[in-house]
Parts: sequence; structure tokens; C-alpha cells
Amino acid sequence: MPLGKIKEKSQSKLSIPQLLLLFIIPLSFLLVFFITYKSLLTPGEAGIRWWFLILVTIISILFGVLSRLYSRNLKLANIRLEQETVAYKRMEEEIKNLAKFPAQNPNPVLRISRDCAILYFNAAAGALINEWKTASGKLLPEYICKQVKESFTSNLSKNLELIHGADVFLFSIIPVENEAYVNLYGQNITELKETENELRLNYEAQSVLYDIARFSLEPVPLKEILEKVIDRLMFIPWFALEQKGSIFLVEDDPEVLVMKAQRGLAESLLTFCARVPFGKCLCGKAAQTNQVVFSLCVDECHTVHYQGMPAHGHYCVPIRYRDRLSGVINLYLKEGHQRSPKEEEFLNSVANVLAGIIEHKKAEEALKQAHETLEIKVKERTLELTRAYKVKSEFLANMSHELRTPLNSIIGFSEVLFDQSFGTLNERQKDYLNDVLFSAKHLLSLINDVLDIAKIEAGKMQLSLSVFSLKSLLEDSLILIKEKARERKLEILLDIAEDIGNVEADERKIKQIVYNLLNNAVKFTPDGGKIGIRAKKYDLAAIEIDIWDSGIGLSSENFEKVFEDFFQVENSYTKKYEGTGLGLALTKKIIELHAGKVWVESAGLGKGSVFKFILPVKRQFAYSI
Amino acid sequence: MKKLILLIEDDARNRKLEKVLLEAGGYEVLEAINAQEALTFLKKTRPEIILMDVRLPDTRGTELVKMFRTDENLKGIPIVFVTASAMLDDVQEMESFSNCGYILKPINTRTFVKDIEKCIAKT
Repeated sequence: MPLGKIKEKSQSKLSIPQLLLLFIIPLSFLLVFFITYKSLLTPGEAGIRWWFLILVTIISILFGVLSRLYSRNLKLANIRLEQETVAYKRMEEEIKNLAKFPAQNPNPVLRISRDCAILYFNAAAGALINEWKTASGKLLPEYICKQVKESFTSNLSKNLELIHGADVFLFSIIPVENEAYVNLYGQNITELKETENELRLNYEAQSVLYDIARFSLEPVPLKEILEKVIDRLMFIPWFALEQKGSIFLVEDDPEVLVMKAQRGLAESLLTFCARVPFGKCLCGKAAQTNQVVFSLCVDECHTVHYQGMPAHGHYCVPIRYRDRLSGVINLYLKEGHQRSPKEEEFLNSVANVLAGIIEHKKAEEALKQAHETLEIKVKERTLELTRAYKVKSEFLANMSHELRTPLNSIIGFSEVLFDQSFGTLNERQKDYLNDVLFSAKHLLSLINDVLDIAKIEAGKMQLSLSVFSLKSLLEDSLILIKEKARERKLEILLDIAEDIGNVEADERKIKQIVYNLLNNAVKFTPDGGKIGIRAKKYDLAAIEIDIWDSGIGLSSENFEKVFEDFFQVENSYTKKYEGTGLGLALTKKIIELHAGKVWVESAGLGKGSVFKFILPVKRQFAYSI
Repeated sequence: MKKLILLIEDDARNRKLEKVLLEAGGYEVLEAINAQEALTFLKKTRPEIILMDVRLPDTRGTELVKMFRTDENLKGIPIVFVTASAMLDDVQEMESFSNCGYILKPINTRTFVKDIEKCIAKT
């Protein structure tokens, strides 16, 4: 409420009804008195006395009522007056208190007139003004006046940052409408500024560390990474660095730093500081003490000197990995640059990140080298193996030739004798000669199989592909063993689908395989048993051929082994059914050369077996399970 | 008159076996144990067939054939290799000559002479 109105109300006179009452009461008294007096003077009639009494009573009542009315009104007026006085006092106190606000404000508050005179200032502003005065002789610095004037002309608020000793103030200049002054509200933002600055430094430090980590991901040698790190450090805006620096690593000798990367170093230093023993100069000292070494300028610790060496300072930061030293970062500073814990902390972080990178990169390079060595060894070994294979296959070819030459005359003369072209033989001689022939032929088939396997292994077995009818081939193969089967009273069953058609393969070798499998079937089936061939389309591109028998069968652990070189089932049949042990190995290799697959199925010993093979109709349609 | 056949074979027993079979087949056999000896014979006489091993002690049979093919006098004589080698390279080399055939060792004594004649007929 406005102060003036409160005062006006509390001082107002009595109201109009109150004034009327003040007049009516004495008038009533005068009237009563006058009438009473008159009636007393003229006594006579009783009627008059009654009238008089009634009149007095009425007047008295009126008087009473009026007086009560008046006194109540008076009381009310008094109470109101009291209330207003209290309110007034409270207001006054409030005003006083309010006036204290700007005065007690710890932030500077000023009111400045259009012509830059100070109209009001609080205690906090007073301290500033005093210092301005001692500094420049003026109450207000010129730049404040300038801003104030600008604020007047534009009628807009303005913010102004003022550095005052160690403190920073932010002043808001607020123009007031229709007044010839502006208010200045100051605020000490020193701490805010410090926090902001710290945040910025932290952010910049983070970005340096981030960049360094990023360099480590590039597939370049360690030296290049280290050079990039030095370059990045040179770019830090808040660091008074010279455009010079180097990074040393500990390599073969654990007591010597080896310069791995540098930027801007003098020519003479490159050789002079190529290898720095621990303890020598600043870098050596950092390595020896494992502590950051700082120098303000070229001091007595800086033992390396050269012609024309400019003034500078140093930070030498050890790079530690776990509990050992992996190197030292050497940075050049402008002379007089002060040592700062924050910078040291930052450089230590750089060193830590770098330590990980260096170790990782070293391990990677070692691994790479090991890998390369291994690769060379593998290549050498492969070459050796290839050579060995070649030697082996040549050896086998030669041996097979050498073995066949005497066999030729053994078999030949035995046959000549057996045919009795040059005289008759008795039965016993014939029998023995038959044994010679049988053994010689067995030896020959062994030699042939070994040679075939050697050829395949040496990659010298070449298929001579032709298109032929598989049905005819299977039937022809059967004719070859028909005689043997008859001798053993074996039943032969043929089940060849009409649609199997032609295949493109090495006819002679497929025949060899089928014959070999049929021969096995006859060999391993007891007299009176059954053998057979089943053939049908496996899919559009391959044919499945089963050669089965009701013979001695196989146990499942031998399903794979039967196809190994020189494998023969170890049982009572072994001796009975002599073979080279190479037939199935050869079968498997030849079928694989045709891009097919062969395997055996058997319900168990004594339950017969089925040798199955899948032959692609063309070799290009490689079959795989 | 019996047909003359030159047999070049270094292994004595194989030479003997083949000679026996050839003579039984009605041929007159001239034996040579190496290329050198064969060339000496060929200066004096011209056989109707030459039978030779591929691996001879002084040269390869195939080299010898190459030499014959340049000689006007010997050019036309059919040649049959009798070899124990079953290496593909050898076979391919033997097949590369015209007027040549081959029989693999061990020979079939019962069909040897017929095999030779079949070879020659083919060429």
C-alpha cells in the first residue's frame, strides 16, 4: 500500500453522524431542561405533569441511546487509529529493512547517472570503487562509462566482464525506464570461471588422449605413431611448448634410452642423443628416477649442449608399463614456463596411454615377425615336402620298374614251363610251379597298387575321361568274376536302373574299382552266399552304386579304417583272404579323383557288407556330403 | 625265310625269355644289350621289326627312336617298346611316335608274339 494513503487515513476527523451526535446531545439537554423548568413554573394540571414525565422519559431514553451510539462509534474510531499506527510502524520498518538489501548484498550494486556519476553504491561496490580510484584516480573506469552510455542510447541491458585482481566480476547494466540512471548488478564469477577453465582444459586433455589412442589403431609402425603423438602435443593451445620434442624407448639394453621419434630437434642432437644412458642429462634422469623431470631453463642438469642452443625449458616424462620403464617423453618448453601440477598430471596420462600402445605395438610387431618367420618356415617345409614327395614318387616309379624287370622273367619262364612247351611236368612240379606263378603275380599286383597310390599322392595320376555307359561297364565287370563266383556257388543279383545312362569318367579306372569291389565281395563271402550290384540315380548329377554281399561283414570301428593304406581286418579270415591291403585305399583315392565319395555299411560281423560309391555324371559336379 | 627282329634289352634273363618266345613264334632274333650294340648291327643289316626296352643302360629307347627317324635307311622300321615302366610320362612319350607301339612288362608269354604283331598292324 502506498505510504501517503496510510497516513491520510489515520489522521482523518470524526465522521458526520458523529458530529451530529455531538450537537444533538447538548441540545436535548437544553430542551429537557427548558421544558422541565417551564412546567415547574406553571403547576396546575395533572395532565401536563404526565406529559412532562413522558417527555423526560423519552428524552432520557433518546439520550441514553444516542450516548451509547456515540461512545461505540468513538471506540471504533480509536481502534482503527491504533491499527493504522501499528501498520504504519511496520511499514516503516519494512522500508528500512528493504533499504538494507542492496547495502548488505555481498555483490556490488551501483546506480550510475547518464553522465557517469555514481548515484548509489553498496559496500561491496565501495571496495571496488576504492581500488579503481587508487589504480586510475577515477571512481569509474572509462570502459564502464562507455558501456553505461551505450546502454542509455540503446535502452538495452548489457553484460560486462571485469577482471579485478584475482577475481572476475560479471556486471549486468540495466537501464530503468524514464529514469536518468542505470543500475549495475555485479556478481563474482571467479569460481565459475575456474571451473569452466578446468572443464575446458580437461576436455582438451581428453581430446589429446583420444587422438593418441586413435593413432594406435592405425596400421602403421610404432615410430610413425610416436611421431604423430609428438605432433599432436605441439598443437595443445594451453601449453607453452616449443615446436620440439622426442620420444625415447628402452630397447635391447635395459639401461639405455633409444631415440625412436623426434620433431624439430637440432641435427647434432640426433646423433648425440640417439642413445642416452640412464642418469645422463634430463631424460636419463627421468628414466633413472622414474619421476617427471622439469627444468625452467637450461640449468646445470642439462648436460647436453651444442652450438647455438636456444634458451628453453623441459618436461621429461617417464613412460612406465607395469613396474618397468618403457621410455621417456621429452618436451621442450619456452624458457620461464612455470611447472604446473595440472600439466604434469596431463603428461603422466599421456605417458600411461602411450605405455599401453608401445607395449601393444611391440607385441604386435614381435608377433608379426614370428608369423613371418613361421610362414617362411612353412614355405620351406612345404617345398621340402614337395621335393620329398617327388623323390618318393620317383623312387617308387624306379623301384617298380626295377622290380618288374626280374618279375617279368620269373612270371614269363614260369608260364613257359607251366605250358610245357619244352617238355612235360609231373603233377607235383606243376603244383609247385603254380605256387611260384601265383606268388609272382601277387607280388606284381602289390607293386602295381603301390605305384598307383604313389602316382595319386604325387598328383601324377591323370584321369583319361571319356563318356561311356555305366550299365555296360557294370555288366562287363561282372563277367570277369562270374567264373570265380560259380566256383564258390555264389548267387549273383543285378539291379541296375534303366535310367542311369552315361557318365564321363576314366573308364579303365572305374572298371578297376568295380572289379576290385566285386572281387572283395566274392573273397569275403562264404560258399553258397549272395553278392550283387545295385545302381540308381542318386540325384540329377550323380549315380549311386552299391556292391553288396552276404559275407563276413565289418564292425563299425573299421568302417573308416578299411580305406587306409595296407589295412587288413585282423581276424581269422586275414590269412584266408590274402590281399595287398591297398585295393580299397586305391578305390577311395580314385573315386575322390572323380570328385565322388565311397563308404561302407554293414550290420556287423557275419551280416554282410555294402560298399557304396557315388559317382558324379561329370567330374565338375563334385559330390560332397 | 624267317623275319629278322632286333631285340634291344639289357636284362639278360628277360632278353633270353623274349628270344625264346620270338623264336618259338618263328622269328630270327638278333640280340643287342644296349644302343651302341644295336647301332653296330643296324650298320650291317636292316631288321623288319625292332623290339626295345625304354630304359637302356647308355640311352633312353625313345632317344634312339628319334635317331632312327632321321636316318633314311631306318626310318620305316616299325618299333615296339617292351617296358617295365608304367609312368604316364613314359607312356605319353612312347605314344608320341608314329609307327611305334608298346607292350608293358610283365609280358604275357602266351600272347607275346601276337601282341607284337597286333602293335605293328596298328601302326
